[in-house]
Amino acid sequence: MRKKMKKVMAVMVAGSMLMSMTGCGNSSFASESTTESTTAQGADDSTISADSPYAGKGYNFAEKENVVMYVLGDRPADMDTVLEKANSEYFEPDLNTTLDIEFLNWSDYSTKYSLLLSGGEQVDLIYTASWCYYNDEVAAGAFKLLDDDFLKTYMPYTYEELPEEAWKEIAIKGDVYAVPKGKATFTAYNGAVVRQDLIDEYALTTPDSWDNFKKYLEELAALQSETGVTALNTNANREQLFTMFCQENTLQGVTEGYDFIYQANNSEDAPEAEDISYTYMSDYYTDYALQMADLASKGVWSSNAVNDTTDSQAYFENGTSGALVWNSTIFTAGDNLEAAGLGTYAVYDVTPDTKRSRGAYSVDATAITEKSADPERAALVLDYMKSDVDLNRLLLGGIEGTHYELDEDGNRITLDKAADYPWNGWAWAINRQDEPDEAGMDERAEAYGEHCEEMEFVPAQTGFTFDPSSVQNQYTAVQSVVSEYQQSFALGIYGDGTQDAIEEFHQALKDAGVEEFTDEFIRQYTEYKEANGI
Amino acid sequence: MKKLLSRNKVLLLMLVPALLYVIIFSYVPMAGIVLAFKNYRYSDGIFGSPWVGLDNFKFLFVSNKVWQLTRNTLLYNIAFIVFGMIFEVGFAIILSELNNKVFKKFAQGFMFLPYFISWVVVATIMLNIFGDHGVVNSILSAAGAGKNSIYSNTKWWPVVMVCVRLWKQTGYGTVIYLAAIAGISQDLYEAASIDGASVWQKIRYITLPSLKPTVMIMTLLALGNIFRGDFGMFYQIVGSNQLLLKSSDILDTYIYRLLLTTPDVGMTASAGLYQSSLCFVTIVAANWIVKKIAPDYTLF
Repeated sequence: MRKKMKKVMAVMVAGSMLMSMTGCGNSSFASESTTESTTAQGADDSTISADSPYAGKGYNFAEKENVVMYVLGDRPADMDTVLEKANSEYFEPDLNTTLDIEFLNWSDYSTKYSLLLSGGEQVDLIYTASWCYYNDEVAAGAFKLLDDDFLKTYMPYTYEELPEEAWKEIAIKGDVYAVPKGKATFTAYNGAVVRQDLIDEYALTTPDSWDNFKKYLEELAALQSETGVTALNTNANREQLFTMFCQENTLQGVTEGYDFIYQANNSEDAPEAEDISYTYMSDYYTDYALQMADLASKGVWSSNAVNDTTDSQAYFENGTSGALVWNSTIFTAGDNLEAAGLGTYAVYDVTPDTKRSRGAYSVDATAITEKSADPERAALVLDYMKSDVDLNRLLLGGIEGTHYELDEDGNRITLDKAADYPWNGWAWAINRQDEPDEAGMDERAEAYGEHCEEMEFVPAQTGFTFDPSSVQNQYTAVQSVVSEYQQSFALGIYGDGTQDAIEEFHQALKDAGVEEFTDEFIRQYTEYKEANGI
Repeated sequence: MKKLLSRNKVLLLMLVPALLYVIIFSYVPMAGIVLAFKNYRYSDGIFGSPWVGLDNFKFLFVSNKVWQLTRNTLLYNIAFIVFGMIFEVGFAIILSELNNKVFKKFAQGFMFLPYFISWVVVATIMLNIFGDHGVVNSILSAAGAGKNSIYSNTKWWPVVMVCVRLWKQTGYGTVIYLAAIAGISQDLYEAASIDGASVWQKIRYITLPSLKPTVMIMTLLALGNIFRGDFGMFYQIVGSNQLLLKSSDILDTYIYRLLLTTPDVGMTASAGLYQSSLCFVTIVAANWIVKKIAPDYTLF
């Protein structure tokens, strides 16, 4: 008996030991299509309404199908009601299809994303972005290649509507694997929301430039024991000041998703290869790290901010932070602060003379998966969501009259039920150029938006994408070094030892192969530059 | 053979669920190891993807970091195992010697409690006690002493980690040893009492020797995971504080950070295989040593 127990134990131990991180050997790819696909041959649209924008175009809608779409975010409380309406009024009568929307939560999307694509679940459409594994998953063959023919045939309206820039930005070496959003905003441009009440009360410096902003933070830090407000209450999850530092120095990223920068000096010309440097190896970054260490030593943020995980926006909203630096969501943070009656806010464009680029269209996109049983039908569903104004608004903002309504100028007014279906809570990748603005928008927000429009610039190399596959090992190792040090430099935890830490960081990057990685980037960029004559 | 089967029918039946579990969740997935040697593509599947030899392992060695990480993981786990065993056995003996039933249950419950607290919560509690504006610093500054945050004091960090781990895990381990102690025949203690043995002598000559098999098995089981760090603990408590990462980065957190930015199935598999191979070698070696010294207590 005892011996047997031992054997069982042994088997279990051996098993658990060898069970590695490889996960389950699930290999159910492209779950075989049992339904006939929606190909343009064998047209059958007797099952859809004659008013459908897709009627009479030669599609086959004989089979009723269900399309599953995955997006990021938290499921709104009224999602089911909205979906029911969308299905019964749009997808079922016009496409003989039902749509299911599933959510990947912010807390675990990074771990679930790849598993979802490799696992057996039905996934037809999925949110992707330059920052959400687009390049990696394309390299792994997860997304369907959307060539011109396919797009023209199965996404006829979207193909016409999207600006050429959008297609260019999402393309990898000229091939499109996802459908970008229809409206690009200045999400990559950061401003600062600060506590106007404190500025007035203590006669603090007006933060209208980078230096003055730093001064404001330092003055506020010196008053902390009196005000109880941390000047910039931040944490390790958001690097708040780097983008602003780049704006101050007119540093521009060469392409989305990879950390290569050059000094643009507000010029739209494509940079020369020798002017491009890897962000973390550049002198700019050293300068930034030293400035951050200086701010940290003056107590602008708590010395253990790096171990803190509370959201910085919440800190501003609950009145314990003197500033928040981010994109236009700073207005939301300011409004929430005022709504809670904890103080008043003002927003400053700290670098008003710097030209700014729109966030790329590729920062939000929807891909059709390789394993989708009927990619044509999925494409039509996506096309419909993006091209039909009413359907699009229903998905973006819920039911008109319940969640929102439009005023006579076509601006949207938030209604009481909006909390159950906040405007554009998840549908960033399907928004349209004509998305209505919020009515009664704060003057401060309007002025800020207008200034951004005025200062827009589009660098000539827009559309260049990098393919890291030939230097994948170096790229991965370099990324790991960066992720190890990045937050620590951003929060200035090395103090006087920053210069030494930077040298150590550079050495670690070199050991990881940053030079091969950079060379390959420059090589691909030069090739693109010559091919496009920019 | 047939006789053996029919005689042990019930026992064998009872074995079936466990066996199935091990086969389905441990043996079948082992085929996934091939992924470590492949450039995984969704469209080609696990077995259809092209072979790339040892390419997937290169990233682990490209920055020479893997040795430091392996060392950290190993040393932390050795400290956890050794101190864990001492504390667990020690507290189990203390509890078993306690006569006050109420206090005994109370103490045991309190020791067990931290085991149920998630590392996320533990990390927050720690920050609020030891952080910049934490309880400790408030008391220190009220007493006129200067500020001192353990989060910027790297020297003590390994000690901090071991302490936190002991605080959280001791209660659980103690229960196992307490059960083992309960299984020791009371006759032995009675006989010893009649012979005039003191409490210490009873512990030394009866309890400890009787616990030896349990200690051996528990240690061998723990050794099997010696290259596998406690991800939740390290990830939550250390986070991205690079000062602390120097002494507290382990294989698991490193691989997590590495692959969070570039989710490559092949590389993940190779990292897992590297860890598993090290664990495999350790357990086989440890078992071999035990076999030489005390052949009765081996696992296999």
